[in-house]
Amino acid sequence: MATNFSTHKMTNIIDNNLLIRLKGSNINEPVQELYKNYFESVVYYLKGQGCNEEDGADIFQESILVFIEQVQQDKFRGDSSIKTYITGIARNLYMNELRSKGRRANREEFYAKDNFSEVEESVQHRMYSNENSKKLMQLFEEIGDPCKKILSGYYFENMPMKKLLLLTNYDNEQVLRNKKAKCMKHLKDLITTSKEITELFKTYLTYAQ
Amino acid sequence: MPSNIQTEIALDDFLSGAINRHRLNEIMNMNGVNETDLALEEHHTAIHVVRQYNIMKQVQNVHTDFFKKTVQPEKAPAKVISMPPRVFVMRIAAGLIIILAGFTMVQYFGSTGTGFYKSLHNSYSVTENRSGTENKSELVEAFKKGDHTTVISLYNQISNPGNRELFFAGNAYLETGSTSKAIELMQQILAHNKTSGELLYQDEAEYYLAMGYLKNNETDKALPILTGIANEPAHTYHNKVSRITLLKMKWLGHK
Repeated sequence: MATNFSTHKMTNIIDNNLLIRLKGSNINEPVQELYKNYFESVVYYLKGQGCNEEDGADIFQESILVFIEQVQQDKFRGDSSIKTYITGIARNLYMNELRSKGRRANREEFYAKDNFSEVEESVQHRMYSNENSKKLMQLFEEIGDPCKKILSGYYFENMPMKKLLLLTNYDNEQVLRNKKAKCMKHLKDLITTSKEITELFKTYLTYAQ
Repeated sequence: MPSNIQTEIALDDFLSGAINRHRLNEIMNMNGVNETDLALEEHHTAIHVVRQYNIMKQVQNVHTDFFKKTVQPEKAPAKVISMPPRVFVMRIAAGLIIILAGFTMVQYFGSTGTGFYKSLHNSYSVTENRSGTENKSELVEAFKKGDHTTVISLYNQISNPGNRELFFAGNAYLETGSTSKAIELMQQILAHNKTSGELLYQDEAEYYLAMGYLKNNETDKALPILTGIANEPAHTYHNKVSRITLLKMKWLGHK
């Protein structure tokens, strides 16, 4: 009993540490841990529901993106284990996948096995679908590398202008600020011209608020 | 939606809590932006795109690495072959001679500018086209299809080409063997950026200018550019320029 308690406590400490690191800007290592610890079991679960291995791997990747967001928005409260939580996300994503592809036969089989009365369709899941992820990434790629570097540094890594100046080859902070403003304008123009992305984010931000 | 530096800074300041909504409205009005709510929504969305991109990129990298490691087949255990010690030593010596001869040949034949060009050059690939005008769009589409002749033809119809058109046309010239023209266009991008303070296609133009020089056997001109790229970890093409190649260039007298 004492051993179980200390193991549980240790797991919690490790999980908390992972969650803290997922809130930072460099999430490579914690994501690697998520892959190492949960990929196999989640894909195994999905395969048991009729999903093939390739789709299972894609769904796992999407699940990780959803999970990171839940953690960053403090929506994951640790009521269940990380494994259970990610498996739950993967299950919902797989249901969405079945619905969108209209694989009725597979869906009926899935319902029969797990007796889910209703499928939860989340906006977040739509945001992280492979297709939409690719669109969003391509859109951002289009602003060019210098702009990517500046906007990522400022808005994602929360770098102060002084530090960002050291990483770029601009003469002073004012020139860098001007460049940042131009980059944002360029990005906003691209978003506005892409109806799909605009719509996606409109729904998503409404949901997230 | 008009946008300038003041409004951009004001939007950032508002989101960070440095100014209140009243002050934001004032700044927006002063700069001719009447719809503050819309401006805020657009700003918020753009920031989300930046964040999502960075998260997705990192997860995608881990995903790819994970598969590389797990999918790689395990190497079959090496066979244990017993042989007399003298034969074993002679075989090792013969192997070393072959490796040395091969290395010397590679150095000899690869020491020209074009040799370095072949080892360093990667054709530019474009992922997506969302250019503003029809003409620009056609140009990028043609480039994506590898139709360099059309790219050059479309470029020649543009009266005032921007960095993007210069860059794609420059690459098309590079691919079709008109190296001097490619060099000229890459130089134009860098000159424009130097005077305007912009950085559009800066890293790309530097790298492909160096490639142009190498293809033209002007290694002495390519070397300082490539050294600069190798010295700047944040440069887009930093990983493509190995220090070993640079050393080879220097050792082989291309100073």
